[in-house]
Amino acid sequence: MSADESKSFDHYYTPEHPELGTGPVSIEPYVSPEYFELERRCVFRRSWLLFGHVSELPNAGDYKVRDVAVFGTSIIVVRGTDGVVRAFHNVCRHRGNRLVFDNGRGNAPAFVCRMHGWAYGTDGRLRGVPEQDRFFDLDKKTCGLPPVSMEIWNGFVFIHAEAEPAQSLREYLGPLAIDMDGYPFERMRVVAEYTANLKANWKTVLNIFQEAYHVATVHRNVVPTQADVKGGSARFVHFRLHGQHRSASLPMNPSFQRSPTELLAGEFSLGFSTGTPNDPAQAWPGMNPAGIRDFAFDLNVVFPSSVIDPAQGWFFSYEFWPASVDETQFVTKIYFEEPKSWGQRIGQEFTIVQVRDGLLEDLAVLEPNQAAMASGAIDSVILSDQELAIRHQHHVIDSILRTARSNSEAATTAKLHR
Amino acid sequence: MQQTAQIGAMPAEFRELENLVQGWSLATEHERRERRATAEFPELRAYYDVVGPRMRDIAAHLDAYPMGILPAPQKSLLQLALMYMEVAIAVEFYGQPELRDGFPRHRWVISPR
Repeated sequence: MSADESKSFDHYYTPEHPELGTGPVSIEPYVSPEYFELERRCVFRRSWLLFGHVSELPNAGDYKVRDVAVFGTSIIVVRGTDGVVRAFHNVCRHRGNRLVFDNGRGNAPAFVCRMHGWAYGTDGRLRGVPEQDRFFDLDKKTCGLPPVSMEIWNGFVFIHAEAEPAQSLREYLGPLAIDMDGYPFERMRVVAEYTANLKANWKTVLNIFQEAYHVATVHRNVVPTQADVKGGSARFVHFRLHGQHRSASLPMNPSFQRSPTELLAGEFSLGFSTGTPNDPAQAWPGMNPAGIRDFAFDLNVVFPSSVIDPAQGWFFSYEFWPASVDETQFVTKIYFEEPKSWGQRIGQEFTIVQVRDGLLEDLAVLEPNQAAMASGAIDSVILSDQELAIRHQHHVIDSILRTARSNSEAATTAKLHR
Repeated sequence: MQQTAQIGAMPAEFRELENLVQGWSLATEHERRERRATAEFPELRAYYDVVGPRMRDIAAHLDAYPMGILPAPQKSLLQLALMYMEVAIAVEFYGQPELRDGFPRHRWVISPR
């Protein structure tokens, strides 16, 4: 272990952040519709959210549509014939019809409204209006698709609800971007994408992915011993709190015995448990900043709801799209480099299968978790040192909402005294 | 969802895998996962035992072909190798076709690629 020998498996991280406390935290954020409405207004509408990756839109006319319930809109991200990626509200300027009805990806030379045939270029400009001479003073130049704030960092497409976000994406990511800048996210491509609609709060879903305490129990079938670093448990090390964002690194079990197919896949390709990237000289940049041995992957939570987890030769991302206090669409993607040989492609497949089945273990426990929290039987949850990321998330959101509440009370008081 | 068409015979050195093409050479991750989930475990075990020892040969054979569109026999071979990865985790880790205590697979949408 090169840097920070002390911050190993036996280290306690929470006491280094006394502002976070060590006590139980309220269950209200998981079950209260009022809390969710505040989150929607004060967190989601003021944050950059991961929408996709440039490899999903390689060609002119490639587009991706998604309902973003927390923004109350549907958004199209499209690569124009000029190669530029742009984001628009999925709404026709004429009488407000949806332009593209279905969520998902596609390719189109233009978007034509299904109600009256108004046609828009992939750059969002209004190109054609049937019977245009029947309108009054219609200036097509001012009737393009309404834009949505969008920026790209290292291949990742992020969107923002505000027309003029207070911070650029780069400023928003801050030290997290600096940690990950060197990683070649942009030249990698999505090789697998999964979606599940869950009856659970978005944080209930996210939480299991920002702690490793569950691994020994939840993942007993798919990764039985890979991450067991200390007598039956996996542990994140080197927690890094970057303002609202947070990171940590996950080591592999150094004495983990690979199965015949893990060894075979490791001959063909880098992957999850198939290789042992121990040589620091071979390590990819932009991950494992502390240089821990037997590195598995980094956790990087981009506040509030985007996760980018880089590993050696591959990475994965999570998006959590809330629809209400207890409904979340979970989207996860696995990324690899374009394989240079068919053998490499075959080797990648084992990681895809293993990570996917592992996710199915995670998801299986979340709806029961939500239902039990909503029962009213308990009013708080108890967090260990290894669940620091969850504690940090509570602290950050509570602070934002407290400020918003006191501002709104101040405004109300000011109104009363006017 | 993309359907798998009937595609060609095996390259000569893999003739013993020819009877696996029908039923196991599947084009998409979704199809391969469904195949595993709905198989009997002894079928998976038999597939693992037959294809596993040929995996290095398959990779070496395919590596002679440039990336891009493969001829039909090689495409079948690639798909059998990808199916092997799907089968191997069940044989080596689960001892049964499906993951124990997993999220229901019909609620887990694999996007087509």
